[in-house]
Amino acid sequence: MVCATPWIRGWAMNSDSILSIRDLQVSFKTFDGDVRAVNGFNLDIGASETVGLVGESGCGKSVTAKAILGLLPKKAAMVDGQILFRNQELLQLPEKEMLRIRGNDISMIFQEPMTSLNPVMKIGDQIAEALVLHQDLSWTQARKKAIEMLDRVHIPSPEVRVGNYPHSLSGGMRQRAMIAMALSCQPALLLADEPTTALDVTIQAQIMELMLQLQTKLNTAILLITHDLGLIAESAERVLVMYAGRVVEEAMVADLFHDPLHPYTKGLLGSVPVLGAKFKSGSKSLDEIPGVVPSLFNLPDGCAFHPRCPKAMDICRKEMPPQTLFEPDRKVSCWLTTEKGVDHDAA
Amino acid sequence: MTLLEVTDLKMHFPVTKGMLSKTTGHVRAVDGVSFSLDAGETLGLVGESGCGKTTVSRSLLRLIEPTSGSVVFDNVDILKLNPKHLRQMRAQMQIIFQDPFSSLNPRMTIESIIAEPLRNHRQLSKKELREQVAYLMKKVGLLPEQANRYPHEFSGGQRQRIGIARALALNPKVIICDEPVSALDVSIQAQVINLLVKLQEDLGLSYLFIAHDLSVVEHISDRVAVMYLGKIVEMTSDKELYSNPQHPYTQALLSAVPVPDPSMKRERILLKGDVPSPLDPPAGCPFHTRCHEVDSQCLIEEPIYRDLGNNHWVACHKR
Amino acid sequence: MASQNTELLPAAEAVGSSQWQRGVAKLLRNRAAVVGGIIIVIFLLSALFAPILYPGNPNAPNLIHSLERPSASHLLGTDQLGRDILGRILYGGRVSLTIALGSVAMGMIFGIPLGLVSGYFGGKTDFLVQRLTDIMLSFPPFILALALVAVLGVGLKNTLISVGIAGIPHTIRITRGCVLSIREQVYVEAARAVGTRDSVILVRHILPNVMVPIIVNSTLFLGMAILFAAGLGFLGVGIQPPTPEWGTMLGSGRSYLFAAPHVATFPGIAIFLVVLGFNLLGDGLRDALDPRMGYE
Repeated sequence: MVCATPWIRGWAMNSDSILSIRDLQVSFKTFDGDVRAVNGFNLDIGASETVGLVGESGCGKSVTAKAILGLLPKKAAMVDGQILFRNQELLQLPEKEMLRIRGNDISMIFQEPMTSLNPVMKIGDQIAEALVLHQDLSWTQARKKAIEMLDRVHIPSPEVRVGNYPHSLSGGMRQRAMIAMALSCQPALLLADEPTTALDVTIQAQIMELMLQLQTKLNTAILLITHDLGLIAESAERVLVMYAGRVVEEAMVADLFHDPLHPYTKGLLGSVPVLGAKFKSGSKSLDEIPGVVPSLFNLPDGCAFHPRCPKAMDICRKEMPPQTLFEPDRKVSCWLTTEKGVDHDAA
Repeated sequence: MTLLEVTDLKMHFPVTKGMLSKTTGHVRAVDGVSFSLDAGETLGLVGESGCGKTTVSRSLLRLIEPTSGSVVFDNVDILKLNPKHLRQMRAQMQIIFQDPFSSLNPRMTIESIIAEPLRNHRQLSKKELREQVAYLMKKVGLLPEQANRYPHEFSGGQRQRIGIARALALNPKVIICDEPVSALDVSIQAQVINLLVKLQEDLGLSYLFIAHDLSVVEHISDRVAVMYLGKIVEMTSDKELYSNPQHPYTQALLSAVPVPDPSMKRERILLKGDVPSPLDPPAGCPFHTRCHEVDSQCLIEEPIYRDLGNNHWVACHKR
Repeated sequence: MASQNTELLPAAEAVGSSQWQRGVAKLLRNRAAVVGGIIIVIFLLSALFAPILYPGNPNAPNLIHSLERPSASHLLGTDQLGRDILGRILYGGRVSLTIALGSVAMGMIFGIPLGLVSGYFGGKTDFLVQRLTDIMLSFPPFILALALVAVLGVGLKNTLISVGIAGIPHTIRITRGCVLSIREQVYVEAARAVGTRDSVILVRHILPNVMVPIIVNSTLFLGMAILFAAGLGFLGVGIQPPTPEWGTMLGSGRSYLFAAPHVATFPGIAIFLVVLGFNLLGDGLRDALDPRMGYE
């Protein structure tokens, strides 16, 4: 099956945000002390928009997603800030209300389909469960709808598969089943946390194609969390880059890739081997970022990236740069750009 | 100069059932793989899960015993060596593993880990060992003063460097890199890739670079072999593979790799279905169940693996 | 541009504490384990310093004072032969300690190597060892000890041997289980790839990682060993009088249960406390070191 790529998106939706996050702070109590995993995260997602959240391990992207749905361990995690979903403040909602939102208005899919699907429950029942809970369907109706959903995610012989257990399905099919589960109630927002990382690249292509098709049909916004820059380039409209718990750059996807402003973004883009690039540059050398991601227990003063930054200045070592707004759609947290942009308090 | 010549390597795992372990079938993990590796070059071996590339790496070192075939290294078929000579040969061909966390013994110091190959094969005094370890650590970008630390005190990228130092200890001619960067963050991947390239230039190493990430493989390799269900379906130079892929699977693979450039318009070839099980591979061409160019011949006859000219090998009826 | 020495940064991540530190801290937070630990320490110290705490001869009969209730001169009373019970409990502790440590040591000396070899090499060796273990485990361990005593005879040495042998199959099983999982670890494969011999792999790579669950299990078995010895003693086929041993004391005190209950009760309490102590400590150890038991 050959299809012209539908992934080119260069435009942002003009609707109001369905999700607005302001100054999200998440800390964990650990044996070795308190750790700040997310430090002042801001985000707006509009209806049907695809926003990418990219960063390396430990940057806080998964924690952010879980915080939105209230999935962080209550005793160990301290969450602060504002998360507005359709004018409801999620962080203040009692658990009973959150239950109505999870799987219904906001859904999440995870990286490892084997561990996120209940191994002793049939696939059909797992999908039907959400429908029975949220849409007030009877089990019979829900199971019928489950078959429809399996068909929609292109699982062959859905009437048979609906009675299968997760272990009878391949990785790609399990991920499709997860997508079916997540989208069964037509949520307004889908949080996709590394949805294709565990899959082969040819299966990944199938799954991404499916997700974006369904998104158009169901008008679902997607927050795509991944470390894969290629995936972001092909699927997202807008991108946020995270480092050590903060957003260091936010831009429309074309701007981010063709004109990155933050040194970390530039470094990241230079580090990725690109098919065919070495023939143009003539060298097998990649632009690496020296050093390692700092441990969250021991973050440097000032800008967390400064020990690895080729352009670090004195002020970078002392003070954390604020988020600066450029033009209507670009935000950067870097002292290099502050004079040029508009000084803004993390808006 | 050809260092390694692999001919028709096969690794079939018996599947047993029942109390008396009756063999009911075979998993044809590696089903007739042939390639050669020259001095100083990097041969990339790429394929998705279940294609057999990891099994190939283990078979070459006889960490698992291949079912049949020959692996000629330095004019000696290592599959026929007795255990003593095999140990000596192992010094020449080393391996770097994928998982930086489980490839190092958590209860051994870095020094012991890197010195282990030296202790096995060379007679060195304690002082000489320490000096060698320090030299190796510096070579891979680690601080020799940290030789007394334990693996858990290092990051993933640093642990991978420790693994590389261990592999270099005996001055091998060939290093098999089994997914050496897959478990690392993007920015650390670049560091390790650059390190491997530099070491190759400095020491004249040859690499068999195994990975599922085609971008990484294509970047570091001089030649690339694409595997599917235990067989090599295409093998050629990196440039040829990128600009002129012949096998439909290679074409699909190339088009599936997401490229970090939003302005690139591409025609994406989407494959149908999943990879078949190696327990029960399809008849004829193993790829026919997902191929967008399949026709009747593909269902019955296995395609012959042949050179299309200029050392570009393909196994496909339609080329 | 690519640079060679890119990671000249301190290696130590701020993962400040090692597994051991964290394990110890977790253990100390477990109140039950701490209580168990205190009990054991008291037991150990009192056994070690028995001659100082009770200077007399605990075995010397003193019939004039037989079956006296606890008083100022005899804190726990006297038994049917007039011997001070407290003194006999203290000295009995030494006997119990000897048996406990001796039998666990036996279990380890024989069980660990068999488990290592059986688990690592597999094949016929494994088959043989496993079938032997199966046979031994088909008896409840105490019955096994009893059967061995029937073959070997009574007394301290034979009790120790019997209890020791009863513990071997269990040690083999635990060791083997650990070896099976560690054998598959990549670092073992890496050791083979750099030319390390199997014998060296067993000792350097596998054994250290097996020790953690062995230690946990041995702590629990220490309590069991004391219980077995006491059981054999109670039945009269373990430690023989006049050697003081709690189980034997319990057994001979049975006849006086209504007239002078203290004769049997105090040794019984001693057994109960010590076994409880080992169990609490062992459980606490397992929780503290789990899920690192043998894995990393």
